[in-house]
Amino acid sequence: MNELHRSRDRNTVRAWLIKYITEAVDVPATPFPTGETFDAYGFDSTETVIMAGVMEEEFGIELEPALFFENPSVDGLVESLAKAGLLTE
Amino acid sequence: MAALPEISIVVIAYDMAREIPRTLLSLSPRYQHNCPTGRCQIVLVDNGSRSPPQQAQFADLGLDLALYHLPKTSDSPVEALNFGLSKATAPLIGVWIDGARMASPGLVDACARAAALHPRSVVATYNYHLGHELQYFSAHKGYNADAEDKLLESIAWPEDGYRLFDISSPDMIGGPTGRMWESNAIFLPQSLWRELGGYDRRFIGPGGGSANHDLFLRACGSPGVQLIRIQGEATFHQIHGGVSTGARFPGADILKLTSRDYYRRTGRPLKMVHEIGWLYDSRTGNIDRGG
Repeated sequence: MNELHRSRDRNTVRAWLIKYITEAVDVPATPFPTGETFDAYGFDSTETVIMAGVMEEEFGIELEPALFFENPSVDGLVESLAKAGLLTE
Repeated sequence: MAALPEISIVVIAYDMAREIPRTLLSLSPRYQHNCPTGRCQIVLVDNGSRSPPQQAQFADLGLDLALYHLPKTSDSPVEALNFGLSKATAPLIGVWIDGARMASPGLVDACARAAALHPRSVVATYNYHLGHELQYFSAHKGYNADAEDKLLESIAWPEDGYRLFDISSPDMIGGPTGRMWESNAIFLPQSLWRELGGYDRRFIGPGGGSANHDLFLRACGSPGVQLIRIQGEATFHQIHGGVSTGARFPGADILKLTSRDYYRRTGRPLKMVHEIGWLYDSRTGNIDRGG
C-alpha cells in the first residue's frame, strides 16, 4: 500500500463498501442492510465485479472475484477479506 | 463528382489476416441487404499489422473501400479510431472497434433506417461471439480458429448470414432489454461523433481498454440523444487472440480489469446503460418506443 491508497482497516473498508453500493443502487445508507446479500437490493454480479475493480484501485490490493461471489454481503465480504489477510486491524 | 455515401463504417484491424476478409465480405453489397455500391463507405484502418491488408484483396467485393495503413505506435486502437473517424465522410458513421466482427446481412440497412428516426440517434447493435459459448470461456476449452472455420462451414456461410445466430452466443446481460455497456457496431450522426470528440485518448491500453465502454456511456449521456437498439441483427466475433476474448482471464476477471482501467483513467466507476431506449425490429421495421 502507498499513500495514494486508502487504509485497509475493517471500518474503512466497510464504510467504503456501503458508500459505493448506495451510490450505485437505490438502497438507504442508514440503516444499511450489511447482512443481506447484494442481490437482495439489486446489486447484481456484474455490479459486484465492477466494484471489485474499483476496490483494487482504491485500496491497492488484488481481489479474486470469487471472494465476492462466495460471500455476497458487506459483512461476509469484510470477513472474507480479513480471513484472506487483506485487511489491517 | 461522386455522390457522398449515406453511411460510413470505420473498421479497425490489427493482425487480422484471417478475420478481415470475412468482416469486409459481411459488409459488402454482395452480402448486405439493400446496400448497393455507393451507399456505404468502408474506412478500413490497419493499425500497424505485420502483414497488413491490401486493397487488391477486396477488389471483388464491390466495396467503396478506403484503406489506410498506420504505423504501430501503441497497443490501443484509439488513435486509429479517431483517424478513421476523420476520414469518414457520410452523415451517419458506424464504428467497428474490433475488425474481427462479422455482420448479419441486414445490419447496415437497419442501422440507417433506425438512425433516420431521430436526429440525435445512438444506434446500438448487439454483440455475439461465434461458438456455442462465449469465447472468454470456450477459448480455454479448445475453441480455436480451426474449430471456428468448421463451424462457419457447417452453416455454409455466407449463403444465409442469419444462420450466424444458430452458431453463436449472445454477449449481453439480461437479454435484449437488459443493461448494455458497449456496442461493437455503433452508429451515430457525424455531428454527434464530432461533438463527443471521438474516442478518449486516455485509454491507451491494449485493445483500447474501456475506450468503447466510455464512448457508449458518453454517447448515451449526451443531451437530447435517443438510444435505439437494433433487434434481429448483430455482430459476431471471430476468435483471434484479441485482448478481451482470447485473454488469459476469462469472464469476471476481464470485467474486473476493464472496471479497473476505466476507474484509473476517469476517476469514476464504470456504469452500464440501464435505459432500454427504442427497440427497432429490423425484419418488420416496427419501432417499440416503450411505455
